[in-house]
Amino acid sequence: MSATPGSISGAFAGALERCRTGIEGLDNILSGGVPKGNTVLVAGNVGTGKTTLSLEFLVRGAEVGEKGLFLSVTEASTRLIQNLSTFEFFRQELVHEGRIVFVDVPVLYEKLGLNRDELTSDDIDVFVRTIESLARETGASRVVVDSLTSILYRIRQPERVRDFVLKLSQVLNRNSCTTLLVSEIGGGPGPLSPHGVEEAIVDGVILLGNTRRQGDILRVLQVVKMRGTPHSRAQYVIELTPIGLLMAPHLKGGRSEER
Amino acid sequence: MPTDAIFNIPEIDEPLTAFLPDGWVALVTGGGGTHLLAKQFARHGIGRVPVLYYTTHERVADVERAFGDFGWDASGMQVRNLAGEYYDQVLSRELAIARVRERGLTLAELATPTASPVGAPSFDLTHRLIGDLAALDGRFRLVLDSIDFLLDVLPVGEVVNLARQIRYRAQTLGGSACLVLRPEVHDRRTVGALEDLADLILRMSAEPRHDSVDLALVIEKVRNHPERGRYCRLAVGRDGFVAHPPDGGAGTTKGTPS
Repeated sequence: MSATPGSISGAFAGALERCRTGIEGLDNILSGGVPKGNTVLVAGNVGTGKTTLSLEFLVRGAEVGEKGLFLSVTEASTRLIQNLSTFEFFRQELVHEGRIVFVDVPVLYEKLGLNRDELTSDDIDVFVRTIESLARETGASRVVVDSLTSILYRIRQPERVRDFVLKLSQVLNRNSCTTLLVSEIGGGPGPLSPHGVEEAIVDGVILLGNTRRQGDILRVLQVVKMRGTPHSRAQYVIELTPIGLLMAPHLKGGRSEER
Repeated sequence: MPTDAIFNIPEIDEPLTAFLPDGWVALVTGGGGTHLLAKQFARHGIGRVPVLYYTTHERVADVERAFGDFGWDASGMQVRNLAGEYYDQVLSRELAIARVRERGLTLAELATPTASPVGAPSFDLTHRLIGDLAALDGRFRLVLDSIDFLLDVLPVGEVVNLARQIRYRAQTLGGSACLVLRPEVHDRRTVGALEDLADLILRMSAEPRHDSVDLALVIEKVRNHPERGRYCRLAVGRDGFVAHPPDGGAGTTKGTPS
């Protein structure tokens, strides 16, 4: 592990089992990776790299024998795989061999009769149970839900939102899955999730955003919260490259920030 | 057969023909031959105007067979089994969903195509009927046997609105429609709304008598002509219902009143 400014390593890392994201800079910040079984909100506005980070998390896991499950709400999985093929770190075999399984959530909705405008408590239970059974069937230890925001469009009551996120986190944790929940938020300061309750329930929050520096718009990443591990809260500049997500310390000076 | 025959029962047709508006809706209620009377109404439209026959308790083949029993040719009529379509597209899907929700969903099941593609509009009985009505462009005959089924599976307001749509199309195109209803199984308000929009209400009855039944029809309502109300004893002949002659000697099959 190379030393990254702002990382907390060594004795602070503790004995918790880690799920290495495979994104070197991020693993350094997290003292070796996300604590296994954690549910992490990956929050950010459009075009900040949430989906790419999540996909790379699954691919890096699959390469070391940790199966992945990607639940796609808004984009057809065939298209996601097509886009993923442009990255050098991705190999089609990972999908063909079932090491990463893509599930189109709209199909799930259709099969489970969840096509109504608002999900009931019973619907939420059925949905969570189904995600759990799919995680078990695929043997996934890494799960991505892209996006939580799209699912929550159908869950309007705050107590049901809380109930859904809590139950989902619990069942995936019970199955030793480390989970990323993608959350779409608007730019500017404010809550890290549309309902403002999601970030309080999950174990961790990775915030992605944009910032201006000398006329350029840079993507930035910040670990806001991660239970079970010490971590830096510094902001890092990230770059989405064909070989994956690269991180560098954000050199401060002459910037005006936006999210 | 007169070209303006409604049921081809002169004792009933003649007073109605003179007083019904151009474009009307009838409610056929009660028991003892409502389904046959609805078929007889449809049969006498065939060859003259497009005839739409919606059944909710018989298969299409059963309707055609009933026509065949009286030597009527059903080939010029569109017969649709609404209950069958509803079962295939709604109830069977609900059954499949209930099964999946109960015992879980596997990846293999996820890969099998859904009955309706994701994003496709769900089956809607009301839209189905209104779509057919909208396609009509001239005089027609429509039978809905029975509206009870719709009242069982749809909100009452939607069914009453559908009945209004039928009436509106009948009025604008000069069509006529027979809606079969069992009033005793619905609340008074629902029945009242349907009776109110009907131009004609025919109530049928069958009273047991020895080894047969007395069949009768009461014309309960002719819009704006309450004086046209009438009681008429019926028998079933080779060509469907006939008015029972005063001497009881009509060529009847069974159900002939003594």
